[in-house]
Amino acid sequence: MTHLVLSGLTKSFGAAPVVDHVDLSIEEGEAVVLLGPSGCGKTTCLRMIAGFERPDAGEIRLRDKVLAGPRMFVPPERRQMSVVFQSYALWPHLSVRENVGYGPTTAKASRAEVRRRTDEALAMVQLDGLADRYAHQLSGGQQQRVALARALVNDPALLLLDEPLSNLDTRLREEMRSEIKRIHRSLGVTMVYVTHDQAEALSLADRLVVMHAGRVVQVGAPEEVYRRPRTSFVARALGATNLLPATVCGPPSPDGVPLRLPGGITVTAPPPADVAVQAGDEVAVSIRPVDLRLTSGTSSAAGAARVSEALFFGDHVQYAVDLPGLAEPLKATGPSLGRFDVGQDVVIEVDGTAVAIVGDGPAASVPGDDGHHPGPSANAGASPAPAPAGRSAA
Amino acid sequence: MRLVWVLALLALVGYPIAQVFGQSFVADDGGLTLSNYALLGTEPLLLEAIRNSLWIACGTVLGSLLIGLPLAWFTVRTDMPMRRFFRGSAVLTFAAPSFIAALGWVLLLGPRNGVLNTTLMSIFGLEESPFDIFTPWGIIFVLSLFLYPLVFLPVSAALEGIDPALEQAAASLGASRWRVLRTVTFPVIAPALIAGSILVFVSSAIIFGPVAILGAPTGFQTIPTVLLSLMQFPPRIEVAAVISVPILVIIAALLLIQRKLVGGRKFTVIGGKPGRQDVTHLGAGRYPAVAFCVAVVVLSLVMPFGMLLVTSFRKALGRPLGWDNFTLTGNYEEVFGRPLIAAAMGNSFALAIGGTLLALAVALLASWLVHRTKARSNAVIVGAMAAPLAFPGAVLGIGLIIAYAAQPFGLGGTLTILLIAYTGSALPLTFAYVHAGMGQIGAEVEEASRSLGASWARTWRRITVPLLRPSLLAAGLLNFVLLFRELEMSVFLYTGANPTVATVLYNLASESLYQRVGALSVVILLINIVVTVVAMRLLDRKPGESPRRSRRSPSVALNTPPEEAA
Ligand SMILES: Nc1ncnc2c1ncn2[C@@H]1O[C@H](COP(=O)(O)OP(=O)(O)O)[C@@H](O)[C@H]1O
Ligand SMILES: [Mg+2]
Repeated sequence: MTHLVLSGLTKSFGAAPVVDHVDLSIEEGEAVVLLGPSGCGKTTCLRMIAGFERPDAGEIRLRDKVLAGPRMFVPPERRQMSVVFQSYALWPHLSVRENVGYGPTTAKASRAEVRRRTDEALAMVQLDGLADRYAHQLSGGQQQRVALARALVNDPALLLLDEPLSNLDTRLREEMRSEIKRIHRSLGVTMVYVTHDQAEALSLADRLVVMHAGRVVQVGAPEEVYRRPRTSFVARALGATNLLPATVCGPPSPDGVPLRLPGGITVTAPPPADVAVQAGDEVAVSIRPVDLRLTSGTSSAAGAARVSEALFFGDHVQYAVDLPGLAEPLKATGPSLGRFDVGQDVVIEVDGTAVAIVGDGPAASVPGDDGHHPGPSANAGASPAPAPAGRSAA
Repeated sequence: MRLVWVLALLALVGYPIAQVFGQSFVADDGGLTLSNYALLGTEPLLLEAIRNSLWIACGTVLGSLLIGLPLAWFTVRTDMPMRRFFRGSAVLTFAAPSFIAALGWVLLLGPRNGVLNTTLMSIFGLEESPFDIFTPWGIIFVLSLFLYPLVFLPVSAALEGIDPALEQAAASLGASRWRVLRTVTFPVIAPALIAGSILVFVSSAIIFGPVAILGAPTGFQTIPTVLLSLMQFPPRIEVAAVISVPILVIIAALLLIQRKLVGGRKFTVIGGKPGRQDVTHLGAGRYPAVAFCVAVVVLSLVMPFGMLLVTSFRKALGRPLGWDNFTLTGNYEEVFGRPLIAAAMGNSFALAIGGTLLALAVALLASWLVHRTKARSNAVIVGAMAAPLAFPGAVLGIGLIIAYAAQPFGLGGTLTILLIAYTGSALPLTFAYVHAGMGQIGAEVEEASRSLGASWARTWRRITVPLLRPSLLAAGLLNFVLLFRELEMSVFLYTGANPTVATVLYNLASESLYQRVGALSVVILLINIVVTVVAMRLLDRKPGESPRRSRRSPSVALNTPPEEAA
């Protein structure tokens, strides 16, 4: 069942729009992650959902009830949404128990009921023993758990989290990440999670929303967005990647697009979702470093290259590989057993399914510019992704 | 909300001050005129008062520098013992009532019966008293002892803030000690020094209490005392307005310069970074240094207030100290036996509490607007809340009389007009504290409460106000102490039917009833001390507050000139 719907949501601070015609619908129980670089409007989007900011235009609906729209604004206290802030925003003058019990107390629950729900929430985040402490007596990770418990105790219609893990060190962050995943699965709460960290985004999301400069640029399942980025921006947003020029060297079919890559490598890539290509077109492709396979080989084969840098990381090795015809070296990742040395000749092999045709060249930095509308016939049905929400017509 | 704030500020200070300006252009027949300003050049009384004010102000600046600079250097840059104690007492002096101290000095250095004078006369067999406190020199002496913290505090903060590398770099290039001082140290502290001097200048030129006490016997008048006589029967309000306007303009200009020099930076009094700088080892020079600092503390705090305490137990001023001249409760009974004083106590309590609470309400509203709304006019709010600093008590008092004393308000001589005055004058300090406190409370802390179902009002009650408690208490305490003994405006606004403790004290002094002056002063000081101690306790009680916040607060006060330090 559709739960939350944002349509045409827009907000400006001063002249430039910070959130620009965002359309999104979220299903009940779904975990949606907004991913984008700092300053792209994720927080502002979340704050409009929570009711801390009034949209300039557009509408927010929760279960068919309009929360914000023209001449309509429901204040935050009547939206049944809980927010976990980046700063935690714990109240320093209240104990952990009072912090967590604030929601039920405000709702005038009986004392026994407040106690029961507080204990339950604290148990959920594994903080049973610390109920009488104050925020400044807790570690960062524990404070984060309190903030989570305080948000969960109200049984919110929507749980909103704004970069909740960015103040934690790497180890704690990984721990809390699986904790949040566990809580989401066991409570089934609908969740909107904002982050600029691709690992968090990929691992937590049921559906991933990539934002850029106030617009939604791609929506889809994490794996799909990772494998089939539609623009170079999205490709880069989800991790290290190689953006290469390529030529369509045969007629595209629904089964694939034959491509010739630099160095004479030929592959058949899956057809792109929203770019119409024909034989002879110059396109850009994204290939992840792990998908470039290096083998030792002669210098006459297609994909012959030379290792120019090898960084050893214990469990893997990162290479920079010079491929004739490319100014920039390619990034490749390989196993640490049987590694190659700098200066060694190698042959690069690529599996066609790992090649994603992106709708803009590596040089173009603004994705979603209106040059590439989905072609009328091309690749229909090749991808189950929903329509690109960032490009609302009009 | 914004409208409520605008109206409150207009009623408290905007309208009265506008009335002062307006009145200065009103001719006898009610038309508009500039001719009132001609009085400035012709009225000999005015000219003399202005000359006297400038003379007092310049003398006090010099005196404050002579006390404040060595003290700052000793306490920051040397290994003198008891440095923290001397710093603390400078802060204490800042809050002590200089008007009451002046009364103490009358008892010590009065030309006829001053205890120090008679002692010196008997020791050295002098025919005449060696000192006379009822002179401009006496006024400068007392004011310097009370205003020097305005130089001391910023300068010692600046000295502390100097990066030692600057001085070491100069020294390593072969500069002599004196050259380092002249070329590196002095330029760094110069802005603080000038800013502090401006505050001393402004404060001493417009201070009423000590000047009125010490100048009265010889008819020495300065601007505020002349303003008071102009407002008394037969009142010449337009003349008072005319003299007020240039004063307002000059003070505003000076304070703007001061603010520029300080650059919005707050002086930290406590919790500097000790041991960072090169410390001069004084060696045998320690003894004169400590003697100097002790002398400052004794002269500014111990002697005047101690003298009042002693006097409060004397039967007669004329007879020497001794057991036959001792009465434990006589003077206190005399003072409290009079219904007038009971009424004054009640009034002062009510006015101080009322003014404090109203100022807190306006300041809360203003800082909420500034911190939680995005209007462009928010910068105006910050400026407007600090504006009363530039209004001398006398001028604000006159403005309130013009604005509210007559019909349609008819508030002349009522407690209400005093309450308006107290509230208005308490705004800058209150706002400084509340604003700083509010700045430390992130909006998210309130938003978390809203999203958990709490209304705006409940969020304020349960989250915002409790978190602001240290700032609110600190502001409230300081204002209560200052307002409880407020004299500068009260002398303009009170009537016999509505006395306050300060005006009663002032009148007792005018009648030379010094044993009662002593008793009443002791009671006022005790109330101040008790309130302070109780509030300190309250500030420290609750767990869960970061100690940082409460420690920060005193620094805010030091940016504000002590208009009320009467
Ligand atoms: N209250 C505000 N006033 C003015 N500008 C703001 C405000 N909040 C956010 N912005 C601006 O909007 C842009 C997007 O901010 P934000 O939504 O916080 O981005 P993100 O959370 O993706 O980092 C930023 O450029 C930021 O400076
Ligand atoms: Mg953000």
